Amino acid sequence: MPNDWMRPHLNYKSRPWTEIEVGEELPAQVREVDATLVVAGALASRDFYPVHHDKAFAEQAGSPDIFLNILTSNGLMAAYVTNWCGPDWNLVAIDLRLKIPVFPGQALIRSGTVTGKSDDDGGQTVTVDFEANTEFGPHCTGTATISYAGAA
Amino acid sequence: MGSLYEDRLRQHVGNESPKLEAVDSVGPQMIRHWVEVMHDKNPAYIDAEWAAKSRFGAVVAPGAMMQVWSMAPLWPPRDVPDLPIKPIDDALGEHGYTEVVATGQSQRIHRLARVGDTVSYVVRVADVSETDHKTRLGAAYFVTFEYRFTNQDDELLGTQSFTYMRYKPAPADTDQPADSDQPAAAEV
Repeated sequence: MPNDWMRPHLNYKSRPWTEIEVGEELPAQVREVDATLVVAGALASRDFYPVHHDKAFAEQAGSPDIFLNILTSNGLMAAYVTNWCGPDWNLVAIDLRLKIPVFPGQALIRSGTVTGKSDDDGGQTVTVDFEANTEFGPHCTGTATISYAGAA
Repeated sequence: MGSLYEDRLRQHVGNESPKLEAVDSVGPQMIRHWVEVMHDKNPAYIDAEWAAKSRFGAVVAPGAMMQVWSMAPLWPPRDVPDLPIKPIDDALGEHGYTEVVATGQSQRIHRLARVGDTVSYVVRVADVSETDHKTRLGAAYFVTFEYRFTNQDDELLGTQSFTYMRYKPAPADTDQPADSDQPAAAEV
């Protein structure tokens, strides 16, 4: 199949619900932000607002450079959480609050903590509080809720 | 700014668009483009064999992508009715709140869209701030609207609320303190 070459990079294993404890910290992950990520993220989310691809336009709007759009920030945080828990989980909710913009040349340091765990009528769910920081301060904070769907 | 003006802004809260259908159906090319950017390792989005045997039965699109299917075409402009956001944006723009930055969003994911699905959405004005707020970027109104995404069988895929601020750019030499309970401002 055409995507065979991607298989070694995909994650087929999942964390079992029973092993996750409130207070567990997700391993931090750094994503280097460059102009390619900003532009590719804007195009992947079909956001053609020039501040996400045109440096001259961004500067005229008072920004030092092009910057990540909100859908890319949200997608990066969603993938951070679901890459950690694995494909047997469904991401059911994600709330994102933006703080300061992130520009090419900065590193985005993503971290998270398990803040809740429940097993009731709503199924087996886990709540993760996450944040992404740059050397200049917090880019975003938020909360994701994942639900265990059982082995595929 | 008088309260009458602010009351008029808030008159639009609850207004809803007609149902709008996405231009394209959900396709694997856009999904993989997204996965490449996000480094998303979930095989449900990429590995057709795995996905066919999974609870999804077929390749699905990431829930975080729900809004992507509904984004406006770059060319030619699509003839859609005025969205309910427009009168608010127009009124704020006329009063000098000319710049826009996104400050937050929330997604509730009910069902993942499958390749071939057609996504439709309705967008509703959920909130407009009562007054303007001082922010690092200038005086700003916060506007929240909410999307509801469905598939061709009218099944709910998810909802997404989105908040942005419209602000009057502050003079560069003015160091305005940000509201402690409001985002310092970020991006679109």
